[in-house]
Amino acid sequence: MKSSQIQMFTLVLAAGCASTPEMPPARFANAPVVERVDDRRDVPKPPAERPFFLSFYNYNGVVQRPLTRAMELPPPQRALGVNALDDVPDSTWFTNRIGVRDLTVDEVRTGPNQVGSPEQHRPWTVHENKTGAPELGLKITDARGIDFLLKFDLPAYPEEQTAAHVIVGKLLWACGYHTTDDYVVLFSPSDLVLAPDAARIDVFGDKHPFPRAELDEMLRDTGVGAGGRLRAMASRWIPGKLLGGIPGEGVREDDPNDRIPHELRRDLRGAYSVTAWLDHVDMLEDNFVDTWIADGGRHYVEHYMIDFGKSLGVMNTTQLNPRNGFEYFAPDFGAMAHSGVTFGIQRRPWEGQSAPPIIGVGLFDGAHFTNPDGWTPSSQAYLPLLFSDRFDKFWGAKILIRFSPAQIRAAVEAGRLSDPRAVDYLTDTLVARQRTSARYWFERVNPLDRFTVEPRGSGAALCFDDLALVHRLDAEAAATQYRIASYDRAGSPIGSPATFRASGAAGHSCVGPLTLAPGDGYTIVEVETIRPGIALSTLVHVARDPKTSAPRVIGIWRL
Amino acid sequence: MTVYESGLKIAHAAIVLLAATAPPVAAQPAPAPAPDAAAPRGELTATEVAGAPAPGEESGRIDVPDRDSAARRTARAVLYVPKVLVEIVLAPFQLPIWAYDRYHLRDLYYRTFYNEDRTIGLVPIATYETDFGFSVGARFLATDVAGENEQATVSAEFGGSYHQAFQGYMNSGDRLGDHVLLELYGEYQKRPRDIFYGIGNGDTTPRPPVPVDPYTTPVTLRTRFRQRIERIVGVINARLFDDLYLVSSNERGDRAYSPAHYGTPINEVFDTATLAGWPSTSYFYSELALRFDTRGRYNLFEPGPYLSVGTLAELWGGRNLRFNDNPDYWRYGLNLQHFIRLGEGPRVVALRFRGEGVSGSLTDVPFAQLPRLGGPRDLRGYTTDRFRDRVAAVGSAEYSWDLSYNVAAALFVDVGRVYSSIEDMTYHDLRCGFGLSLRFFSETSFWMDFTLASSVDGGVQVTASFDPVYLVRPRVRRR
Repeated sequence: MKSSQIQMFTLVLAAGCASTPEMPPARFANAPVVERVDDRRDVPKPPAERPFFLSFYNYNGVVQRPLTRAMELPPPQRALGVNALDDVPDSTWFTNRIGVRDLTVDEVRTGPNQVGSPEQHRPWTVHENKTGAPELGLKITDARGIDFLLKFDLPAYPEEQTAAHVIVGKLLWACGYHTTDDYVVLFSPSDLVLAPDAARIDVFGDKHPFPRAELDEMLRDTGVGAGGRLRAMASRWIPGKLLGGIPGEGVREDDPNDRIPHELRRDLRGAYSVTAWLDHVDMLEDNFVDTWIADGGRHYVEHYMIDFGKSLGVMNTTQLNPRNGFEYFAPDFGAMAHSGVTFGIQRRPWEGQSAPPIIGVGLFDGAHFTNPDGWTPSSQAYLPLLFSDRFDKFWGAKILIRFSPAQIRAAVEAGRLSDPRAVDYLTDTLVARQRTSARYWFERVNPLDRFTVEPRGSGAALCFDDLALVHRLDAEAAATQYRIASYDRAGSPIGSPATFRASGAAGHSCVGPLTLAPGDGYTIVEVETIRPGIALSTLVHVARDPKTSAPRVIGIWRL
Repeated sequence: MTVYESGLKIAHAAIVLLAATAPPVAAQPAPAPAPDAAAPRGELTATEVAGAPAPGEESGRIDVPDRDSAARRTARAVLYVPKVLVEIVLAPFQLPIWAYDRYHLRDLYYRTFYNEDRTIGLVPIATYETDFGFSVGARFLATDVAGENEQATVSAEFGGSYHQAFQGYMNSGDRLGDHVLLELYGEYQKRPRDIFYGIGNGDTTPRPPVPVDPYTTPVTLRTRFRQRIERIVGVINARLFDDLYLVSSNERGDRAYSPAHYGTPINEVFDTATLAGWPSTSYFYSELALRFDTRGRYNLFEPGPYLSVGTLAELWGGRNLRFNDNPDYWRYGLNLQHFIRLGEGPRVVALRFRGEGVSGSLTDVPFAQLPRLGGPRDLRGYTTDRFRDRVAAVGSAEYSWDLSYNVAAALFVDVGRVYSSIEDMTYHDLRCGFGLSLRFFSETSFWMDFTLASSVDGGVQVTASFDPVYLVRPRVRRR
């Protein structure tokens, strides 16, 4: 082959390599990124309370609705409720906390708590019992006049549910979810005083007399802790008018602020990786609650996650079923069919789990959390988790990985576990699962985040954090390269692609200079992260600020 | 217990109408009304977010939103009618489930049919078996009669293998400690369609022109006879050591037989005048059994009724004293079970052998009390009581594995036959049944065994049994 032919072949090959890829249609307004939405517009009339029927919910979610939904041919769809940076703006559903700033250890320890523990404000007046759960629950008012719900552990599993509830509540709060104001409390039976009109309520809602002897018998059945004291979790009654659970599909029709179908909400879908990390398997509609609150003359609905007492492997121990977190409980026809046709020969991922026999620790380990995408909540009826895609899970992972071991330990310590080994074990396990989860999702979505455009000489450089390097997740800067290619708004290449080594300290890199398109500078920069075994891209949309002419990031589109 | 649980569902469905009049109630205590509470600390306020984009307007996207393709919209329109049909078809399932939750039917059932402590109650019973059909009934039970977990039950059942069945049972619970359990059982049954195939291990034969003597003429044909049973059984279970038990069972019974009004009556094929025990027999039976039983579950994370480890070895023998100058005879037998746990779930290989024999000649033993094989427990894949003779032996190998926590599957092979005597025992002409079982249980209770079985001789047997196949305790009561 002649030299000219070789050159021509090389040019053709190069042109082919550099040809315009299939450019996703996403284009962004040249405007600041939205960091909060206004879903606090006045709702003068409280939306209707939604009853929850567990069997009906599971039947619909497992049998009927999947059939009818399949006939509706819903297209696969990326999550909504995200801003131009693929993040979730603050709303009545979610408030960015550790995802956008460094929380102090004390902030995590305090979490959602506002009023302080009722333990220092005894005696407590008992008004009524709580029905609908096997463990004892009592509605009380402390000496300050603040209402709480007291929930007890099952006597066979001391400390497990109360600790899990408080620990997970604090971690979810730090992630950004709205959780309840909860405390582990220790007290003696004499701290409980029955109100004159105290009533024992049965499952039908009928009220019965609540004599002291009956209360004492209930308390005896909960098991008495060290020093003859009782242990419970005191959950401050959520302010406002409670409206019941949050539908997992569609919107609350009578709330005009509720405009994004819940199965498409990023904050709910992205909870997958967080709940998988915490093994919060009890993700049902009724473990969320809406409350209609007043705020400066307006009323609107706020959305809470509640009831985390079955997290951290506690559902495994209280139900004596190690499949939780690996198979649906309600029931998992897929897992049953798989086990049936394979005659049980194949080893299931839940087999071999173990946890040390320490009071307060459920069947919760890190060794079996090898496939964070295989984690399952107890029911497949909760659609946001079912619809969650890798981008949602990546979003959750980049939040959860920001917890330091000290912050996790602070949350665990809030569980007031009596055995220090329990604190150590749960902290270590949570750290192990945290890193497994982040490593997994950062290998499936380009783990670059916090894009900015910074001046570099006479031009500009695109800067970002490589989360796998920032958090030292088996990724090495020396083995990491970033390939940059620029396109104009129409998707036509601008200039030639260039490759850069990860250069910055602690995972922060800047690449460039950028070649911007003429005019408003609208440029789509494809950043491909190349590491052994990984080549993942993100499209970063850049344009000149109309006021300053300085280039800035106006949107990203993860591939 | 299985009957109890499955019966619950039937009862719940039955009282939907009753419950439909109940007022709606909230599942949780009413929330404290505090509509004027302020926004929580640290949260944004309405004032702070005023002017921000509304939800759905935060993306910054300016491209044309994705729209469904015309093909998808067309297909969706086409599927609309089938979707509505599915909803209509499934409505009969959906509605009762909704009512179950909405009106707390389970609790309503307990409130209606149980005392507050749920120690006294009424339980529906339902069974199904090929060749017999469905039976329904009810059981009154008390699980703590005198404060030491003494149990007492009274039940009535109709249909299926019964015309009428009335049974009563009580035991001493923990009254005598954990080493001694006394049981008393009585029953009156009218069974209109029990099966008699003749004597021996023979294949089915053509119908003879005239009734024959089953002891001398090898005719094998399914016939039906009526049986009335009146008996009372007393049992003393003594735990000698950890896993070693001595069980003394004593039974006083009367049985009367007559041709059935269903299927082929027994007297059209067999000369009933030649049948031992026909038309009635009275007896007193006393048995002693020595049982070594280590069976159980491997750990707490596996359901209690799902046996996965251990061994059962039981040797038993008893004397049947017949009244009215009829000859007495001995019964004896051996039960062996061994469970090999292969893995978590659990996956289990279970091996089982049961042998039973009687002394005396065939004509000394009432025909209905000869050792038998066939049915949902012994030699599955064959009709109930397909074979009977002086000796019966059956071995079983089964592999079972969990499908979920509450459901297990089992593949089994049963091999066995009846013999005219122990000396005649041989490996020739063995009968072989095989099949698949689905078993349902909770952590503490066995619910149901649904078995689909066949045999090398053909035929399909479907049974829904509420007793686990490895249960040995009520053997005397059941015989």
